[in-house]
Amino acid sequence: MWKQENRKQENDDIISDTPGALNNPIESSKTGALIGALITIKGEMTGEEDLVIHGHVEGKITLKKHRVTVGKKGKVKADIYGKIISIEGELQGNLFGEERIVIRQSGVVNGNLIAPRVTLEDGAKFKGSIDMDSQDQDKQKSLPSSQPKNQGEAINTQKTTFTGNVKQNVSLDLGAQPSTPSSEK
Amino acid sequence: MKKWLSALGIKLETKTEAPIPPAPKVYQSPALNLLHHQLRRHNRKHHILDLAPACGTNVDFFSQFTCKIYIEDFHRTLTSFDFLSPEDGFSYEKVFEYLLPYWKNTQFDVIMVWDLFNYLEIEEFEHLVRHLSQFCRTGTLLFTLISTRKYIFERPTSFKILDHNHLLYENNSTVLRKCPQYQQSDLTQVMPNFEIGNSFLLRNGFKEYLFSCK
Repeated sequence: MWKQENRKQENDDIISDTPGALNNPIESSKTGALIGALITIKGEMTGEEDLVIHGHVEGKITLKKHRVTVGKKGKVKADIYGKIISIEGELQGNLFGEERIVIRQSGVVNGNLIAPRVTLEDGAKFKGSIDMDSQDQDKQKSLPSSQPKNQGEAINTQKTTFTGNVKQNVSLDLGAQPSTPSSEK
Repeated sequence: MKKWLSALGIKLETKTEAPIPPAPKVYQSPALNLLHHQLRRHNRKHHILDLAPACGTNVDFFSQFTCKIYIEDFHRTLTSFDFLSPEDGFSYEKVFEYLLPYWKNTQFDVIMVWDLFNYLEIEEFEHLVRHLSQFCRTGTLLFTLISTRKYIFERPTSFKILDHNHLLYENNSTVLRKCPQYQQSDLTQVMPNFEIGNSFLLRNGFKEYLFSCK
């Protein structure tokens, strides 16, 4: 009980950092999935809903038809495939946006961006290449990407699938429920 | 006070300081105008290397062309890099290969150096140009601003492209440093693979150059 209250408080604090992100973890299944600030995931993630990352992720994220947001406290070392990708935290890897990539003022990105439209806000730190030729996207997608190091247990939720390892302190919300029994330790 | 100290034989170290950072200013950029004209002439994909920190307005400007932009923030990378001594096997070739690694078949159409050369020792300057030359083709354009002033700001200026003919100069430094004041003869000597296409002396003390790879 105490843990749950703490968890809710932490999630509420973080969510307020992200404009347009999930406003209520309880309703997250309607709007997308959330990876909390104290979660570390290593592996490959695919799914059919939006995703907001406040924790640490390493591997590969494929949500080609959906929005992927790395929050201010998020640290990601992965290639991300999404429709709209928004980075407010730290990212090391390549981004493939079907529609658009936005690096926010607080964003720190080291990698290559491929999307028809790319926006860099003033103050954003970026090192790498930006390719805005959408015709090249299909070619780039076939490039080898960073592979997840650990293939382990799998957690399947209603919409989002994760294959890999989770180091968890507080919460893992992958859309189906605010916290699933299988994700608590 | 100064007289009293000098009478005692004590020298005052006077730092050249600008008390407050100057307000951002807009200047015309005839070399950028020419560069824009050149890019418009060729309707193909351009590969653009920008050695300055990432700037959204500059990315927006280049995105009007079909292009791939490489952003390096090179001054920060270079100054934060731990150089090894020559005894440890240091060489500029290795350093630049490490800091600016590109595939051998990479060919840039445009290199935006901005005012970076003013912040490099002549040896660094020469080796950087030599390294970049490997990734140039005949006709690759190199845009740079060389200061003719005695002092420059401690850190490179941030240049924002407002339109094809205007740049916004922004610098948050309050400290000045000596400028190497590279002359045209220095540039042609250090950049043997490039020829000066156009140069323009601006009222603000910068000389804009648009070089072309031979």
